[in-house]
Amino acid sequence: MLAQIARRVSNTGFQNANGALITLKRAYHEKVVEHYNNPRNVGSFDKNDPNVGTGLVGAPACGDVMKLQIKVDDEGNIVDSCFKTFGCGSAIASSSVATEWVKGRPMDEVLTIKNSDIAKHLSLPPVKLHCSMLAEDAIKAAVRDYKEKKAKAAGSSSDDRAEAAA
Amino acid sequence: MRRQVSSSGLYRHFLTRNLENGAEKSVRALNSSAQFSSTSRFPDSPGAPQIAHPDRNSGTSQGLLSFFQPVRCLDSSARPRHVDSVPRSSVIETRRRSFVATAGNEKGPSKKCWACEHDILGGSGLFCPSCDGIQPLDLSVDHFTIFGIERSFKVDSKELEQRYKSLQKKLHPDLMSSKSQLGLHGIKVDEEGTIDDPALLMEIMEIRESLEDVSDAKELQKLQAQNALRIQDTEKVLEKTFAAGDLKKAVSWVQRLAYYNKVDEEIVRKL
Repeated sequence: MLAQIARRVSNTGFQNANGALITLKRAYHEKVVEHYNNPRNVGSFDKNDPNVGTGLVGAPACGDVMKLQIKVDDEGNIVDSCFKTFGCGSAIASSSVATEWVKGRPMDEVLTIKNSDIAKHLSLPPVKLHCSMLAEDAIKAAVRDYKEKKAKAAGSSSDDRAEAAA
Repeated sequence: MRRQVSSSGLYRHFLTRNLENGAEKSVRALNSSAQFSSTSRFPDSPGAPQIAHPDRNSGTSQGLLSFFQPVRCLDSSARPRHVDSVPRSSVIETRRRSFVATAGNEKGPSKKCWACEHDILGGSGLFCPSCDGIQPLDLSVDHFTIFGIERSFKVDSKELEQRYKSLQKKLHPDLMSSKSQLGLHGIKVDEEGTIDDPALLMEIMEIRESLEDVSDAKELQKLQAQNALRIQDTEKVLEKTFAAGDLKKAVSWVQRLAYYNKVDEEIVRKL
């Protein structure tokens, strides 16, 4: 695995003057670097928008905070998503990947996204597996928040209707 | 045990003389038998504890056996502290001082562990047999008991050194951190766990976001000072929470502290 990474890293230009391959141990995987340098979907939606679910999770062990937001249409499909993460490169990449993966999928389907999928996609080392876990939790928290909002809205609207009828 | 110890009767005589004033029973136990011999060949070094020399009338248990007090050595000031009802209330102090050594308090014939109420019978009295919690220092326990070696004069210096070092490892002041204190109390702090306390996370998010916009050194220092205040306040609350024994709350405060420390790290990185 390390050899694979080393080869890929060296293909991105880590060669000295003699053309010898300098293999870097413990380098970030190129996908992680890519997400870190060009993160997709950074931003914020309006929290109070009824179609927006906000997942806010943290890992006190490393001091990371991750916010993942989803915009859901009436049929329960996620039409847009964005994130804001304070943490290491792996955490940022994990949340970036998460926002990419949830776009265009039904809400209940994204609950099946596992941290192991994210970790595999980014080739995260074992020590960074908790970053992918954080991303999975963020997705779940966002969906949960949206559902709670919807339930509250439905509850209050049915109260209004009851009042109107009375 | 890098001592070249003379095993003459005369030496023993002076050793007894100097130590009698300290009234260490352990020393007398040591002395009542044959001579002390060391298997080491190293000469005296100036920085190391000195052998009780006839000219030195220290009057206390100084001299050779001061080396046998590993637990005391960790506490630089060595002054007796008052006994707290909950020994761990000085958790925050331990971060700056070395070892929470409450003066040995004879609680009567049956001593109990403060964490799990298990009886502490014999042994070294340093660790609880069931929960491995560090117990308050009992000064009446003699050195042989602390090390768990049999009372003889031929003390294998290598083994002694090994045990000394392993005790040091267990009792190292750096282990006296909030998280390990919680661990000692039996609360498992899940290192890898994610939290979703919205209030705390929102606060941290806002702090980090405001940090993003700042690059001026003066501004950063101001933010750092603000954060330091937050850390101080959290530590105070943590101390109280520990003292009150409310350990579930303590977990959340420890998490908060961890986040504030991370903020400080980020500021330092920007500076």
